[in-house]
Amino acid sequence: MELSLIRFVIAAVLIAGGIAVMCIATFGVFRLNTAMKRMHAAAMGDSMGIGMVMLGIMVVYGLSASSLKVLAILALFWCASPVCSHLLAKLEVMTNLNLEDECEVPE
Amino acid sequence: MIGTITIAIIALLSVVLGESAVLDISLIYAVMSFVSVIVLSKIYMGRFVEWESERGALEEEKEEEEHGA
Repeated sequence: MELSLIRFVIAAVLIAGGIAVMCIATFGVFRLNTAMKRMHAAAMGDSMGIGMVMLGIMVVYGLSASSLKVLAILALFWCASPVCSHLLAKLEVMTNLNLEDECEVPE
Repeated sequence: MIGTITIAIIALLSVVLGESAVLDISLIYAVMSFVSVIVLSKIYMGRFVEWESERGALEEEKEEEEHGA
């Protein structure tokens, strides 16, 4: 695939930034101790990390059908990820009997 | 999170190999991870409700024994 210098630099910066955000998110998931806190770290990778990586890939592919596919992946993922996070938070509130120790639970 | 990282890796692999058909795998992976999270959390919620009702029944039996004795 032949890329001009500007396109290559923009794509490289976006993809490298996305990978860096994902590394920070992974580090956060392993370091934090409660499930609610880990959810904050994982959501960081789900939103900005994958967004930057996919934008970089779209810059590489240019205007083509593959770019539309990447956009479809991004749109689907950004719609599905908050739903999953909400369900997991609901599960945690339901099953964790010691939740009052970790955070405030409004009645 | 592992699913998210896998989606990103497969998409980057499509750029490296030059095959845009690999992007379909990443799209299917996103759909599968979404559906699996919904199914698994519903299963765990249902199991927890069952466990709680069993525990409530056991505690009621213990209280009846204490009152009887």
